Amino acid sequence: MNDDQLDLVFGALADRTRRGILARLAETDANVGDLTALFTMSQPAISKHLKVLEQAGLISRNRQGTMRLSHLQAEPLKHATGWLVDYRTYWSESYDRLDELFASLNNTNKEQ
Amino acid sequence: MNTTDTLKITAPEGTQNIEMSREFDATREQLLAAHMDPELFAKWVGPKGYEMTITQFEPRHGGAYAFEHRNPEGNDFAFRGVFHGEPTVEGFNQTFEFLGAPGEIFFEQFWFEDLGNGRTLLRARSTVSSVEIRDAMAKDMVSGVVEGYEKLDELLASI
Repeated sequence: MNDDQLDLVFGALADRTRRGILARLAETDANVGDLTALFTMSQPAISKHLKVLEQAGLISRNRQGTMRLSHLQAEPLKHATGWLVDYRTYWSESYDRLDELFASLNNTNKEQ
Repeated sequence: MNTTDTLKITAPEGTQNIEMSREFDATREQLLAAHMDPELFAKWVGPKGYEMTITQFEPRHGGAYAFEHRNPEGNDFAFRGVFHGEPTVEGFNQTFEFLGAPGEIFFEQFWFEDLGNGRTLLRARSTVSSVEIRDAMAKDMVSGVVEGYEKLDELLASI
């Protein structure tokens, strides 16, 4: 994923309504009516958010009869979050380095 | 003394918290300095191979901090927050924000507990704004399937 695409993904995620839409779509596909009811927001406002999510590749939209269903696409999220190492790795490695720092500080103290 | 396998991270089901604890061969004063002295802080925070730059660090009540990591691929991630309450050997509190997801602010509490023999237990709790976001962050730590969130589970497994 290139920088432009990552910009779109993070930009899309940087809004709590859009994050809420993604969480809802994680349960099952939804149409604009479902989302309008859930967020008590106007249809045009929801449609705007869906457009941003679609541009970022986070959702796809398909026609089912008269409805247009939004569907969560997990791939871009995988790339965006994979960009940061996972939580456990981050802290495990940091605390290992802190152990080394303490060891070197305490050895220095012993030598003095 | 082996402290490397004392790291515990849990994401208690239905809460917005990530709980962490880790033992250190260091005093509470040293733990406080490691978190509050920017020169020391820069030496350990962040994954291996990541370059750390501190752009702001005011270790006091109401003080702000800001730092950046650069990974080996040359990508930058910036973080910032504010300290709340005076940091002491008992611990400290802060807000935390990853600027790649701005507006998503965590509240973090750190406790330093004396274990005797010059050793300390560090406990930390990160409180996130929703269970869903906490679950997405702690995907490898969430225990059990929450009823009604089967699809969210599929998402977590696919990430």
